[in-house]
Amino acid sequence: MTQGRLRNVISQKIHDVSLNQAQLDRLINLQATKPKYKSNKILYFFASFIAIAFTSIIIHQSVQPTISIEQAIGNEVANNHIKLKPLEVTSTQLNIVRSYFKELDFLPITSKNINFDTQKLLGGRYCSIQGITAAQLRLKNDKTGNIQSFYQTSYDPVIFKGIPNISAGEQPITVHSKGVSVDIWVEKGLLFAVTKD
Amino acid sequence: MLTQDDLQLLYRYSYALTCNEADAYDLLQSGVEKYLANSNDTEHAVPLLKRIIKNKHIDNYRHDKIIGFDNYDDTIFPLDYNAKDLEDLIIDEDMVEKILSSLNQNEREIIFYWAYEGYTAQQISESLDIPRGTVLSKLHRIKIRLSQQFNLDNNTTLGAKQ
Repeated sequence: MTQGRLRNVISQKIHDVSLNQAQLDRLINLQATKPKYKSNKILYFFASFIAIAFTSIIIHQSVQPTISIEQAIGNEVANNHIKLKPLEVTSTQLNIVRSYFKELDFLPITSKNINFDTQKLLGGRYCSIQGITAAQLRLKNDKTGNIQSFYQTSYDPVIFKGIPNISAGEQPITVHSKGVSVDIWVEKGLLFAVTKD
Repeated sequence: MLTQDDLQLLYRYSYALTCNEADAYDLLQSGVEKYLANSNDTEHAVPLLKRIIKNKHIDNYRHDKIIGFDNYDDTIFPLDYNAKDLEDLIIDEDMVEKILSSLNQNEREIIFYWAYEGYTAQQISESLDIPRGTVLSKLHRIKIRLSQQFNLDNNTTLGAKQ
């Protein structure tokens, strides 16, 4: 029985273990046939970025206080009213102003909630309410000099759910934003909003 | 590109971990496949593959629960211990497989570096990223256990410096 030092015997034993030629050939061939490594760092970066952005949006939405559709319309109308952007068409005749709005899918009309005996039409411009294209008419009270912004757009029952319909006997809802009072209502299949300084 | 010598070395490393030639080949092949799929580092291919093979072996263990492990977290060793003590153990050559089989995976890995690669305790600690004291402690315990388990002859006094 041959004896030897532990280190030498173990070293020799491990050295005696070796791949045969067929095994070597398979492993060499594996290297030749495998597709080249492609870095996924850019993919990982964009995936991480999207995940972080998505998470941020979810968190932002979850902590953002929800406001009613009436208040959202009121905020938008008040903002536009304060800016009083230049009119795109100027006329005191509703027919002339109406003929300017060719891109709308409705005809701008009057409302029984607006007293055209005291309010004089100045003109109009395109705008939008909650992402829906709208007509903005500008009115002026000759006695007081007050300017009113009068909005109308197509009524979407999903987006504008809950807005009172004065054709059904309901009263306009009034919201307040940035010191401006805004009446909002539905009438004749359109959504209306008007400022009251 | 891995050379034949690289592959033989990695095969022997795999054998040291598994103590089984068929398992060693499977381990090496899966390691090479993973390396080719995930890395283009050809300069450090061998050390990288050793790490891949070791991790794969550990995964296999966790899956099959067939091999015993212990932690490297073991730094208790005689202050005057020298790694050469283990070298002076005298064994019968036909006992070597039994001796290797009696060691756990971590011990066989240290023995591979120590006996086959001829590394010092310092080099082993650097390769395995563990303290040198832990390496010495492991070698010391291996000697004690092998001496008792296999009634090994030794021509040195336990714990004596060479």
